[in-house]
Amino acid sequence: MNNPRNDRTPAREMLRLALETQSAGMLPGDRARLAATDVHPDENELALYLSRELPPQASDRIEAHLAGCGECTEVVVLAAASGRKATSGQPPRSVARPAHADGAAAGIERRLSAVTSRTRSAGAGIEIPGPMTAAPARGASPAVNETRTGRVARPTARPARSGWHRFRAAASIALLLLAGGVATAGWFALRWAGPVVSEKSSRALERKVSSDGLSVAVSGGPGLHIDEPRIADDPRFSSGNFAEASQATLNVDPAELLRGQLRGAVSVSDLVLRLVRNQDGVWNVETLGGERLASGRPEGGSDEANSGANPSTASGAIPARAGNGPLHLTSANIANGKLIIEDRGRGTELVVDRLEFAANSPDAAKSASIALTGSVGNRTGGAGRVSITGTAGPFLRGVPASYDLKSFDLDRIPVGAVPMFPAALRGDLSWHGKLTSAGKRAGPILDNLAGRGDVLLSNGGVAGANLARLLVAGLDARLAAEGAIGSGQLNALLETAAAGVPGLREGLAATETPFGTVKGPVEIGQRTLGFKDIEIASTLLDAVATGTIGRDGEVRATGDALLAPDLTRILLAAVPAAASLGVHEGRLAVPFSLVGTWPDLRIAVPAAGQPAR
Amino acid sequence: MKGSPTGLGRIPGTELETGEDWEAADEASDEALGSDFDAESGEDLSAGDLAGEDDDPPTLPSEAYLRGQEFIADCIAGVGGTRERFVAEYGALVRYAVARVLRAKEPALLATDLDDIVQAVLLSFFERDCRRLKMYEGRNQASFATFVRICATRQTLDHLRALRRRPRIAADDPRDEREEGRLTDAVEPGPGPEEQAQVAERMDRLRRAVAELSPREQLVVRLAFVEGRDAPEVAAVLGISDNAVHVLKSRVKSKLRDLVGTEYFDDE
Repeated sequence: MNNPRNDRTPAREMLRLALETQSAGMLPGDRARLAATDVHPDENELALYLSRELPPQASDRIEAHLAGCGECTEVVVLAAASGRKATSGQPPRSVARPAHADGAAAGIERRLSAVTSRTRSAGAGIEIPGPMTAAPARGASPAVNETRTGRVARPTARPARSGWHRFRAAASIALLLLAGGVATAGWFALRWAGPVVSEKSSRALERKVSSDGLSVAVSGGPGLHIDEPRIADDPRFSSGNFAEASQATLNVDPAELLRGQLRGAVSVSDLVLRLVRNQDGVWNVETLGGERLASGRPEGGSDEANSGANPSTASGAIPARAGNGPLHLTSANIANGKLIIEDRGRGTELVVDRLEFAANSPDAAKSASIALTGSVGNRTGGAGRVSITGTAGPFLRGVPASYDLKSFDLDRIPVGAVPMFPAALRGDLSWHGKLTSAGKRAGPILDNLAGRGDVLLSNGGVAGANLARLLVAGLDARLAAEGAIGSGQLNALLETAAAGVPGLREGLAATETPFGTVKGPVEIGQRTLGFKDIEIASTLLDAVATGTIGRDGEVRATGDALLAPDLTRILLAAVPAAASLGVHEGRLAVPFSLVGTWPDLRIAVPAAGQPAR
Repeated sequence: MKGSPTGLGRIPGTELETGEDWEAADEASDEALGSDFDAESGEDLSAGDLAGEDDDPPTLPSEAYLRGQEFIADCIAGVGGTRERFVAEYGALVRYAVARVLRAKEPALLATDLDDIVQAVLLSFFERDCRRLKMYEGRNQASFATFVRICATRQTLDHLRALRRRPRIAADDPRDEREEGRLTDAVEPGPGPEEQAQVAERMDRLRRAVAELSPREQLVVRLAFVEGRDAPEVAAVLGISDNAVHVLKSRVKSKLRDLVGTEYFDDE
């Protein structure tokens, strides 16, 4: 590896010194003071930084430190290099292993044993204070684990207490399961129980609920099998089923049963759930229980007083019931499910296939932990993936449920098929981040979404405006203001000159902004989506921009673009004065600011000496 | 998640020698702890990796993640065999990270010091009541492999600095930042007071200009213009693409050009 640091010029040294002293306002040469006042980030902070897991402010703090600290920068550069994938086609050289090192592995084992035995001989495993002193057995309580690791508790072998999930929208399933428990415990006549359960469920949901039969489950504790349970859809949406499964099984906790409490776990196999959003923006899941609004979609949080289901709860298929219901579900599992999301307003359909879902609720008054994975695509097969972990709930009467999705990952989802995404956007969406929300209905839940993460949009475009052409227009205005050209002249010059360059003329004439990738960190607020140094790579330009996009399409951003070499060459040939903007590796550098409401946007290129931001 | 019955994906071989294998080991170790987002490359946003190949049944990431947390907690607690397993599974990654540093800084030490440093790094995770392991905070889902790499890299650099303080090595190393006098030598003002004043004025102007930059832009200045790192190296640190590095460099130059001129960007 070459080491550029060998090549030290006075100019570089001054630049380095300026970086190392500017923040503390120190004088050159006062390095001792710098060392005394600067606190180096620890390994964990640097790992979080390299893992892109720090919030923006913390990330800024680390970057500010790195800028002024050669030692930490060196650590990060080398660690990042050793973590980089071999994309250059030049794998690192092998590490020569000397003959005398043959016993190295044994050596480390011996020394490790010495450390371990020394500490163990002290009678306390290793010298760890408090609850960490003794090595707890697997399955220790979450409290112990949390103390011990200072982070997420590992799952316990046995829940401390049973809990239950409540989703009003799926209250009928709770009734089904209740009936199952009663049948097991009280030797119900199943032929009688089946119709009763169906009738009560149907009444509660105002949807026809049926099954092919009930049978007693023996394995895993007393329980009930429900063969092919089905919930019909709201006839205003379709004549088919809203949900159907090959089998649902409820197992109840016999000990709790003896105490008069019905607690249990439900698992559903091969669930197919169909969510439909009609032309008015109303979801079929919102009409469960007969609480559907006549028309129109709930606005903002205004309908939070209304109870009802939302897609999340429905997809979770956790029985819902406000208040102290008769059934407490400690866990819910869906195996090999399918979620079909149809947006009739846009004519799109998204299928989440091979859906695996698990929920655990140790305390009915607290949120349940949830985890979900699935394949995503269209009906011809899914290429993408979705993976979610976090918490949801509690689902109490009159209180909007909270959603804290600590990990929300999407991988190559066809964005055009995702309901409520801007119709102008196309491409494959990947997202890695965290999301939170609260609400009882789909509308408020979406309106209340907040979080942050890294987004990657690939091989797509945004219809309605061509940012490259807008940038040329901004450049035209800037150059005209400087007297280099007449107003509007640049576009005409480029049009003529670009005729001989394949793709260039078409690119400038397009009515959309095509992109290879749009990538970077974004922050989702309740009203805006903020982005910082987001990268846009396209055939005509590469840009880095910072700004916001409002829910109404209002865009405010500033950034810098490097025009493609072909475009730069043509532009500089037509207007040599444009070189005053700066040319970086054969590409014209253009600072810009972008304002407007999509697609009615305007790009300004600030005059020399006037910052774009 | 694929892996051993314990849920900790076994790093394929602890005696790996090739770079490709070490990188595979790196990825495997990340997978073993359920941290699936490869932020280092900044490109792999794949959640699909969570579930393995298409033919494999999807698994719940929280389970894998928590298994990793459990393993670290067991290491800290000294549960039988876990520390030995830690050495076996992360020894490869540590060795790779240490070797990278030595190769970049002191290739001659690869043959003599590599094993000693690897041992020291591995032991450091358990010394002082496992202070290092406890430092790792998995709640933010930082990659544990990244954490291990950072620890190994920093400790190796510390080792080299300690060696340099010994006369035999310090004399032939031109890159020691801690070598007092080098900095002042490099910006040694001229002998006359007038020249000294000029340098001080330039320095002051430069400091003010740099202070106008955002932290990220300042880091770009250090990496690209002070240390002369190439775009892929800068991109790996910042987690952005090479193209974005060029845009940021261009932006920084544009911002500083009017204030301090272009003499500081002689890499171009």
